[in-house]
Amino acid sequence: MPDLAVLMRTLADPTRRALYERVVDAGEAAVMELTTGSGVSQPAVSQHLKALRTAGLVAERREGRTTRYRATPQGLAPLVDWIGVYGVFWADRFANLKSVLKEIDPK
Amino acid sequence: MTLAIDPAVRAITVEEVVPHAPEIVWKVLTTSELMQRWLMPNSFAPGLGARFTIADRPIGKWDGTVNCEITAWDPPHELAYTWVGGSPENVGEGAPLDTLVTWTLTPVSGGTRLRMVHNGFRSPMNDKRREAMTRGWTIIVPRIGKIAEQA
Repeated sequence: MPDLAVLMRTLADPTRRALYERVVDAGEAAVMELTTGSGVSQPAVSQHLKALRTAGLVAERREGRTTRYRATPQGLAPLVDWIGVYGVFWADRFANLKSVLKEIDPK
Repeated sequence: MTLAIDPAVRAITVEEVVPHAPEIVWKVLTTSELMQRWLMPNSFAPGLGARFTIADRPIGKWDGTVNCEITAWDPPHELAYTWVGGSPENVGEGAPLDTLVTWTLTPVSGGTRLRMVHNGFRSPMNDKRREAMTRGWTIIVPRIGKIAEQA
């Protein structure tokens, strides 16, 4: 598992981070699909994918002559420590808080 | 709702405008029975310096007790309490936790801007490395959550 510093350095590049988010949203995608509408050249996208792969954030799969990329959930594990746990926790609790507010102060 | 984790400063921020007066929001944030409904079972006691506990689920060697002490009490504007728990025998989730939760309530037209910052998470990196990192990026939690669920 890559350490947190590598992970954060990799994701610190906004272009690369945007690309990573595209991979997450796509589920699985080829370089072509990831390049379209990204405003980044195909060679650059390939370079960023390579960096993401090295950091353990994406995995590749050959399908005929194309390589398809997908996000690897375990790659984010170093971020999913307390801070990750509480990120999800507070999102959840905020929703509860709003329901309680609505109940005691209906409009 | 805006929810962001900033790994550079190790803080979680949640912010949202709710259609309720600050006094109502304050009440929900500072009444034990109401807190139990949206947060967790607790022994909340009001006022600066008051101590209380929150009962979270146990993880590994930690029994789940969060120890809190109110460090800011300015109704209905600001509330802060320490959020301390975890066990040195745990790593990652369940590890020692010495953090601070701060709630800020700002009246806005039609309601309250409610902001919560949970900070003080220990960084696995030393400060030098943290400084060397590019600052100011955030990861939006629902996206992380989406991936974390599968991890």
